[in-house]
Amino acid sequence: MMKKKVLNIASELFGEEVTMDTKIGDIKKWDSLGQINLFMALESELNLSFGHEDVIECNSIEKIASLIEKNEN
Amino acid sequence: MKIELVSNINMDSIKFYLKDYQLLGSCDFGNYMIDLIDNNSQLHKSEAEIIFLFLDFDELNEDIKDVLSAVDIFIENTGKTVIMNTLASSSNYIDTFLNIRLKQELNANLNLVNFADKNQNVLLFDFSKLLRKSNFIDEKYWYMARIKFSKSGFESISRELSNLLNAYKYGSKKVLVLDMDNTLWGGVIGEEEIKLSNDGVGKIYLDFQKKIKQLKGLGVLLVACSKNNYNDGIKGLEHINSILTEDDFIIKKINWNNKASNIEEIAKELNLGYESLVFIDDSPMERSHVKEVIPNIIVPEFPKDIYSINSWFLGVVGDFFSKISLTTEDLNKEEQYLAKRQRDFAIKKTSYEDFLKTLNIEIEFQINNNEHIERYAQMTQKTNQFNLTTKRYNIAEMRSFVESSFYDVISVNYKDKYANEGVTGLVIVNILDKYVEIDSFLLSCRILKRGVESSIFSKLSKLYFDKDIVGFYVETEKNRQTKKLYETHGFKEIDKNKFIMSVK
Repeated sequence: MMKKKVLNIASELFGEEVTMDTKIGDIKKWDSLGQINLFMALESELNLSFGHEDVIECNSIEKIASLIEKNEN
Repeated sequence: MKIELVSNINMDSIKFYLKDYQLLGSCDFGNYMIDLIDNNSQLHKSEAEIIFLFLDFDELNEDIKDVLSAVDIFIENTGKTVIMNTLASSSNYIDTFLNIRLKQELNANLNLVNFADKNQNVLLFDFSKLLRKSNFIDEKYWYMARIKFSKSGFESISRELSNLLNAYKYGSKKVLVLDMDNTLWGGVIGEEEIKLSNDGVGKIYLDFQKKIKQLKGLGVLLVACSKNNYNDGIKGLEHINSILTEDDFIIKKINWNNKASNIEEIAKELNLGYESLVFIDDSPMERSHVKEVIPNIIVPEFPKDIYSINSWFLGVVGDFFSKISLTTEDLNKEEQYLAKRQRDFAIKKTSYEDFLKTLNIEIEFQINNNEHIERYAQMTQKTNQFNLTTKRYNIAEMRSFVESSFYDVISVNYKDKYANEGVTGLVIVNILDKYVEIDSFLLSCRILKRGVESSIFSKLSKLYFDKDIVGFYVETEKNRQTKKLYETHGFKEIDKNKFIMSVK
């Protein structure tokens, strides 16, 4: 459920289909600016707040999904 | 259309939210003054038609007058259009009650507004209005990555920018078509006391009417399109609290016709394409019907929560009625259309048949077809206005007519360039030795005044070429418009309300 939400938010933001395997650099709009905007979108859509390091380090859908799962527990 | 973005902060995130326009990013932020003045800069060479110069007031180090002269030089050199924002302090600043910052802000904006007024190539949008929305700024990402606004902040800026670009490129829509009950006031006029007042729920509608009146002042034409008795609708506009009056509407279609046909007439009378029309109605059914029949018309959703009607309408105005300039033509538009409509009416009287020709009407007859028996029966049950004898039949009776060799059941399929209306006419003929008798003759309201009756008569005279045709008119409350049908088609009245068309 949460994974699906993350995928939707990322696809919407980047205007391209994003899968569980997608990571930074794989699609045109996902560069360092895209990385920041992805976290801004995730925080606003999912009503969460992430730390500085997570925003820099979690640069694949896989890592983001597990970060959010960890947050939930 | 390509847009170049220039700013004193990092505004590149807009590219994630600005749809329909391509944002080039050939200029680094911070260098905008040099970019503007230096005629060898990337900005001067840019292929973009429009430059979006976003100035963040908090980070602005230059005097606004210097910025404006740089913009002036740039426009003189390139002839391009520059979009600018009003300045607003978006972060906390130390001011106590001395209002130092406020004075700076007002001064700078006064300079900006005057500059934009004098310079046709400068388009200015009110940024402080956007900034009032909550959660506009995201401090974390500002300090982390020098990205100042939140997702919703960038979304608002992008929407405003795109409204401005649309207004620049396409201009504004021209006509606002308005429903009345539960749209211009609360409740149903003629059935209850309507809500339109300075307090309570009535204030929602009063404020809404004020905005509509303002929009009219900007040259937007107002049209009423409402299912009411005409007199009831007018009574609503004559209500003591009504801001909008009868004269504010250039056309009033207050009747029981379906709204799509009313809107077809409106577009025709104003000689405008459907894409110039915005239709507002609280009823989801009416909205989807109109949108289905006329795909090009703009039909915004209407808020379910009436308390948000006014903020919703501001969005509608931004999306469809944004204007970058106001011409005298805008202000005289109503008069021009009125004159034009009068001419059209004069022409219309002589050439209604020409108008029909433009509809590309196709009529198809089916005789004793057993696939539509249910529809035939239903039509005899439901048709009141164009129904010569108003005889009601059920499905079994209708089946016996279709199967009997003493009766013909002739159905009419109507189609024109706007819609395929399907089975919309029905004639039941009793075949006797020496003559035939028209037992029932009915047409759906949707296809009246299109010459369908005449086609039916010519079909009948071909089918029964060797027999006299006899028809009856049975008067009811509702079918008076058909009283003269037989006579106008060459029948002779041989008895009261009994008509004949002889073979010879």
